[in-house]
This record gives sequence, structure tokens and C-alpha cells, in this order.
Amino acid sequence: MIDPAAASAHASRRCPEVAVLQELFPFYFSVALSGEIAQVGERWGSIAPEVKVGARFDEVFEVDRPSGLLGVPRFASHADEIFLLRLRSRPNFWLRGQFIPGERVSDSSDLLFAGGPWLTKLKDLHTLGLELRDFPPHDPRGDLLIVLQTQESTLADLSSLTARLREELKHQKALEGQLRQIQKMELVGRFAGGMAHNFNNILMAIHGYAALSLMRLTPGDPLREWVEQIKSAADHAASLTRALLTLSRQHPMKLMPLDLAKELREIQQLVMPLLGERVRFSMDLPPSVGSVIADVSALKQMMMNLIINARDAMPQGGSVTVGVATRVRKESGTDLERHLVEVSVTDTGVGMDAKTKSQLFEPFFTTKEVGKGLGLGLSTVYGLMQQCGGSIEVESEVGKGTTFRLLFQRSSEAASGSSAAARPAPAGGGRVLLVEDEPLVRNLLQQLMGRAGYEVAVAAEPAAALDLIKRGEKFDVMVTDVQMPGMTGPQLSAQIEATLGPMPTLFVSGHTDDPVLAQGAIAPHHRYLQKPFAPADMMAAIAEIARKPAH
Amino acid sequence: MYGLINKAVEGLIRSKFGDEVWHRIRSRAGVPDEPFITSQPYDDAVTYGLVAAASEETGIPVDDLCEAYGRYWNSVYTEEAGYGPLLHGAGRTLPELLRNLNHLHTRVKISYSQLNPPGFTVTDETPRSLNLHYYSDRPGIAPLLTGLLKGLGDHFSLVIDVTRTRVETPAPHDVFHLTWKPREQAPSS
Repeated sequence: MIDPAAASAHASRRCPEVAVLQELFPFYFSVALSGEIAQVGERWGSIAPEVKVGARFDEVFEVDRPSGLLGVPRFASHADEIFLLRLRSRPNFWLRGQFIPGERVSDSSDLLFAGGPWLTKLKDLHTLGLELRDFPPHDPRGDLLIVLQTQESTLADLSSLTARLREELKHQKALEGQLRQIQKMELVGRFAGGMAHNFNNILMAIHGYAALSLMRLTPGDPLREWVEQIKSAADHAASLTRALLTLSRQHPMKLMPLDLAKELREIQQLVMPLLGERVRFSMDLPPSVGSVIADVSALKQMMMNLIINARDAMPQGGSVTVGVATRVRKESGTDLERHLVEVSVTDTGVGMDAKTKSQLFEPFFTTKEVGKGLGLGLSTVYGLMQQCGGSIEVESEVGKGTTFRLLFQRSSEAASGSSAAARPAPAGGGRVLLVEDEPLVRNLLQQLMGRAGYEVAVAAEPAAALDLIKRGEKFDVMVTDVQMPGMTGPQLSAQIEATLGPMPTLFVSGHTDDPVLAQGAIAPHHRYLQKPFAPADMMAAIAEIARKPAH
Repeated sequence: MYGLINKAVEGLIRSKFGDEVWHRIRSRAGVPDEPFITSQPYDDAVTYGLVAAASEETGIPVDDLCEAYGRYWNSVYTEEAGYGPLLHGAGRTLPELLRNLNHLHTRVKISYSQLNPPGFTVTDETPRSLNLHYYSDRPGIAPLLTGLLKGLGDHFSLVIDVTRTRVETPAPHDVFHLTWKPREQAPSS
């Protein structure tokens, strides 16, 4: 047994070996083979007073590594290993060091612990009651703490930089997505614009000659129904072209009060032949539907798209129901009420899952087989409803069918009657200069105006029209195409008016990039019609500008 | 200089003038909008450029900014950046810490191998004053040291007066004459 008082006195004498130990290892201690602590460094007094001479090693320390050591005498055989000790009173206070058998350095059998506190975070020094000076200059552990702190700070910086880069990457990807979408829409726009001009000229001829044929056919003629179908098909093709232009935002909308019941019945006539025998179609119109604010072509296009989609969602057959209901909605954040009319298209088809629903209105998204759909239908409906000032809702369940709801603003005004085909063409009189480079359309328009009583002079290009003017020919009205070789219709009009003054002019075009014409912001004695148009619309426009004083 | 130094410049400007001013200063100095990396060495021109731009943007003279930076470094930044124990462990009193400055910088250089720290000696020590001799290769940093020393006053609850003198012999260096008194004895103006 070691006498504590004697040991302390021994320590206080500060023999040179002890003084060196104290300088190099402020946390040193020695332990006898009996398990009692024989010597301690001075620093223990303020850090852990229970580490004192005479205390039992096992009661003060726990050996974490090497594991499984029972009893101090075994320590000597692990003298070349790292010891990790923990203070039992403070389990987060670790010591790292080695036990040196006494016989290696003196004639004592005691084991000397040469080491000190072990920690890896600079900030933990304070928590443990330590200071950096507790690691003497020879001891790299103090410096290691600074190295680790620097690495931790650097890691935090890099983590922040990574987060920033990730955010920027996300933003960049979103921008790329938007750019791709814009490029897609531009592509559609270029395609639609390029196609619309020529395609609408052809449709104009089909539609116009069908109209001329109907004028010749007696009311009971069996051919009449077929010609009507040709005209309807041309109308449908024209609405597809318009949808493409709308999707690419190149087609101006004409919002007006529409007689919804009347328009829906016309739509029914258009779609019935397309549904096939397996699909039952029904329409549930309340007695007083009233008027809605919409573009007539857009309404037809949207309903056609939804009904054809419903048909395609029922490959084994089923039913499509068109319903109409009124709704009143409060504007968010106000007491204002919006009076709406809901037009629903319900099918009993395959329905959609949540993922499909979330992508439904994206351009070029389709669930149809390759070659059976471009994926423009519902995105067109979505775009058209927005332009009509309305909205679209969808409800669907896999295996149970789908309902689309179009919500239009209700109009307090009565519909003016949009169907030009029903109007008789106004009788005309006077001289018309017709400038059109497309022979099919030129011949048609010449015939239509001739039948309406106008004397028509034709020019196949703007230069020929200018020749007629230079020769002193007089005209009451000019009807001109917009996009022609050498000169546009508006340029031709400007050149003529520069010499003769205001000339009543009707511009007709399959598609125009001219923003003034497209938006209808034109002179009072000018009109613009987009091909294909009904003969009655053209006659009405000519009669209107011919009557207006040009000055 | 290491990113650590530039981070402290950024921290000072953001805390004193706000994020918007920091971005204007950063932009004026031609420094990209990205975090400084603590252990990455940057060209000294980045730090000098930031200080010059900050002076132009705020109208505060460069010397005053350097002094503010010094105070910020010792009073705020060292603790925030996790190096508080380094400062605490360097000395229990102001003279002890100043005598240990070389040792402190040696410890730091072990982490920042490209560090080019200044040298220090303490002379003419009395219970309330001393002379700190400062040897550095870097031009224009001396005003920063005035701020650093005053920042130590915050650390030890002292009010420290600092006067600087340029000495050319035996080697060119700056001498900082420090006098101090406990903070509670300072006049409450």
C-alpha cells in the first residue's frame, strides 16, 4: 500500500523526472500493480480531483480500449498499444496515451500513463474545462484541433457552395425547361403559320364551292346532305388550323355573347358522325341556357376535342354526355359573385391516374398510340379557355371515366347570332378589284362576287392590280389577299391610296403575320377576313365598306 | 490571404451595412457572388480590393475600416468561426496574450501552411502599458492591428488606447504603444 502523504511529499519535491513529466504530460499519472494510483500530474487537481494518489484506478477510470483488460497488471503486456480511457465521473472526458511499465524507465513496478485529454473539436475545450495551453508545445493534439476546426469550417463552406450550386442548377434546369417549351411553341407556331396560309386557301375553295353548290341545289336534292357534310368537314379542318394558330398564340380571339344551346346543337351535328356505333351520345340542356362569352370557333374546337377524346377513352364503347349547368362563384377575397355557365363532357371510359392528370394540359403530352394523337388537343382546350376568360376543371378515376368542365362567363347580353351561313348574302353592285395569286381562290371569289351582282376585275398579282389603276380603271372596292409575291396586300393598298386617296378594301388571308391586321386595328374603310370564310361574311363586309364614306 | 480573412470582411460589411451593400461592394471589387472557402488561399488583391470598394461605397476612410475590421475580428468573428479557444488559450491577461502572439500564429500556420504571419515582440512592459513591435511584409495592414488590439480590449474587458509609431531602425517596423485600464473605470460618455 502506498502512503498518500508520502507520495504527495515525493511529488512535491519535484525530482527532475517528475518535473519533466509535469511539463510534457500535465495529465500524467502512475498506477501500482495493486490498482492504486501512485502519482498524479498537478492539472488533475482542477479538472478531476478524484484522480488523486491512493484512489483506485478502476473506480476513477474506465478502459475503453484495448477492450477486455481485467486488472492493472495486464496493462504491461499492452504497453505498445494506444489506451483510450474515460473518466467515470465525466464520460465525455477521454484520455489518449500509453502505459509505460515501470521497469522500462526505473526500478519501480508501477505503470506510468503518458498521455492527455483526447477531443476532436476545438469548441469542446471549453465544455471540458480545458484550454489550448493544456497541450504543451511538443504535443500536436492542440494543433490537430485547429486543423480539424479549419477542415470543419472548410466543409461548411463547401457545403454552402454545393447548396448554392444545386439551387442554381435547379434554376437553370427550370429555365432550360421553359426554353424548350418556348422553342416547342415557336416550332408549332412556325409550322402552323406556314401551313395555315396554303391550307386555308384550299379550305376556302372547298368551303366556297360547297356553298356555291348548295345555292344551285334544290331543297330536296339528295346531294344536298353530302355537300353539307363537305362544308362541315372543311369547317372542322379550318378549326384545326385555327387551334394550331391559337396554341402558338397567332390567332386572335373574337369574344362575344354566344347562344350556347344553339352552338351546342350545331356541335352535336358535327360530332355525331365521328363517334361510331359503340358510343352513345346524349346532351342534357336545361330549358334556359342563356348566353356565354366565348369565341365561336374556340367553343367548337374545344367541344370537338373533348368529345373525340372521350370517344378515344372508350375503346370498348360507352357513353358521352354533354351537360350544361349554371354556377355562382365568389371572387376570392371579395363578396363579388361571378355568374358562370358550366359545360361538361363526361365519359364512361378508362379514366386517368393522378400522374396523367398532372400532365394532361402539357403540349405534346398524349396517352394515345403513336400516330393517333399529337398531344395538342387538351393543351389547345386549356389555352382557348384561358383566352375566353374561363377555366377548365377535370375529375377522373381509373376505370370509372372522366368529366371535363368548361366554365364560361355568363353573358347578360343576348347572342347576336354567329352563324353566317344562315344569313343571306347581301346583294351588291359596283366594281370590285380582286387581287389574289391563288387561282383556286381567285376563281371562287370572282364567281361569288359575280353572283352577288358585282362587276369583278381580277389581278393575279399586285403588279397587275397597279397596272389597272395606272390605266385609269375605277373601282368601288378592292378585295385583296395579304401575302402575295412581290408585295403584301397592305403595301398594295397603301400604294394605291397614296395616289387615289382612301380605297375601301377587304383583306383576306389564310394567315397573316401582320399584327395590325391580325388585331383588327385597321382603318375604318378597311376590313379583314381570315380564310376560310362563309360567302355571306364576305358579301356583308364588302357591302359595309362600300357603303361607308372613305373620307 | 486565406478565405478566412475575406469571410470576416464579408461578415463585417453584412453586419454593419446589410446584404445589399455587401453585394454592391463585392461587385465593385469584381469578386464573384460565391462563398469564400475558409482554407483556400486567395490573392491579396481580393482583400485589398474589397476594402477599397467598401471605402468607396460607404465613404469611410480605409484606415477606419481596417480598425473596424480588427475589432470585428477579435470581438465577433473569431468566436463565430469557431476559433475562440485559440484566442482564449493564448493568454489569461492582455500582456500574456501579446507575448504569445508568435506562438499563436505558429499554431495557426500549422493549419494554414501558406500563411505568412507577422512577427511580434513586447518591450517596455509596465502594469498598465507596453510597446508591441510589429514586423510584417504586407503594406497597409498596420491600421488593422490597431483595431485588433482594441478588439482585445473587448475580450479582456479593458479600455485600450493605442498609438502607432513607425520605426526604421534597426529594422523597419511599427511600434504600438498600448495603455489600458479596466472597462468599468472608463468614463461613461
